[in-house]
This record gives sequence, structure tokens and C-alpha cells, in this order.
Amino acid sequence: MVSYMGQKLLLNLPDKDLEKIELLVNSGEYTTKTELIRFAVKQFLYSQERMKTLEELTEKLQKQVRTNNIRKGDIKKEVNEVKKETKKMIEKIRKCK
Amino acid sequence: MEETTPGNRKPMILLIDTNVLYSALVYKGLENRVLFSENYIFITTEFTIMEIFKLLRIKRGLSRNDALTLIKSLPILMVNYEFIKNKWNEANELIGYRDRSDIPLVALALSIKDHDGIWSSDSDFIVIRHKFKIWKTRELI
Repeated sequence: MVSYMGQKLLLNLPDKDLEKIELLVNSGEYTTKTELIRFAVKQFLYSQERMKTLEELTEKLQKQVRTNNIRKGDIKKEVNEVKKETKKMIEKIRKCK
Repeated sequence: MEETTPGNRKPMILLIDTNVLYSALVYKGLENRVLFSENYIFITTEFTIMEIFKLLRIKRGLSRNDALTLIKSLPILMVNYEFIKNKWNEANELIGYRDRSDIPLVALALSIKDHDGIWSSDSDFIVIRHKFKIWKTRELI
């Protein structure tokens, strides 16, 4: 779905599902089909399983950061260091163009 | 661009930058609340994801497996370079002179018509605020 975002998106859905979509929009449950699709994407992204995994791993990270007393300023420095590498990569892209 | 607020029903589409995403992962602060709020659909580029992967591996010492699992579980859609490359030069003109590493996210903002803005704490994005809404974390709570 991502690679077609911003363009027209063709979804081959069974008639039954299309009818359901029309029904949900016509009944006022969703104001537009776009709204319905946004909700469907959101539901997929925030599935219980995904969120559980993410919470477990971020808790681990947060504990580590707390224990080592890593402050916001340190985090900013870390991001800047990594961004330096991105800049180099972007420079390579510019040269290849 | 449609101006919406977090209270609105339709989930907002926000383009997420590395600084706020990393902060959301390592602190249980405001950024974390926004990321887990389920109010938004986040989109970013493979450049941001690559940066997060490096930060998790090198700076936080996560195993490759854990870093990949964490990235896969993020509630974020990722686009690759191919998706944004047509807007690359325009993005470069807009922000390249401030910070080249912001080009991918601006190219993404130019590539997607129906988004609601960029979520970042990076002050360099100030130069594109005439084109896109730049959200501060507090505005999204």
C-alpha cells in the first residue's frame, strides 16, 4: 500500500467487502472511504501483538537509559552522530545523480 | 493541507523524524505517549529507519534480532528511496542548505499529497513551515 500512497490506489476487493464499505460510509459510521481506509491502516499498525512486542522492547531500552542516567542532551548527540553518516550517504546519492 | 487536531475522528497522517521517534523509544515521556496514542498514522523513510537501527544497535547495544524486531513492530509505515526520489531535488532546494540529512523527510512530505504535517523537534524544519505544518510534541498530546 505504501508504494502507491499519494497516487490513485486500486484495491481488488470482493463485492461483499465493497458492499460493507459502502454501507459503513452511507450509514455515517465513516464520513468517507478515505477515512475508513485510514482507520483500517491504523488498526493494522496498532495491532495488539505489535504493540505488546514494542512495549516489551522499549521498556528494556528505557530501563537501560534510566540506569545509565542518559539525558536528553546525550540522546540528541547520538542522533546527530548518526545523521552525519546519513549526510555522507546523501552526498553519495547526489554524486551518483 | 487539511488542518486537523488530535481530537478529530479521522486519524492524522504524520511524517515522523528520527529525533522524536528515538526519544519515544528510549524515554517514557511525551513522545512515547504520542507514539502509543493510536491517534495517528505515522510514515517515514528508510533513511529514518536506518538511523534508528544504527542507534539501537550501536548506541543502545541491542542485538541485531531485537533491533529488527523492534523496528518491525513500530506503528509506522516506511517508504523507500524510489518513492521519494522524484521530489529529491526540490527537497534539496528547500532544506539541503540547512541540513542535508533532512532531505528525505522533506522529499516524503512533497511526495504525499494527503498528509497532515511533519512531527519533529529539529529546528531546521522552520524553513519549510510555509509549506507544511511542523508539529511539536506538545501539540499532539
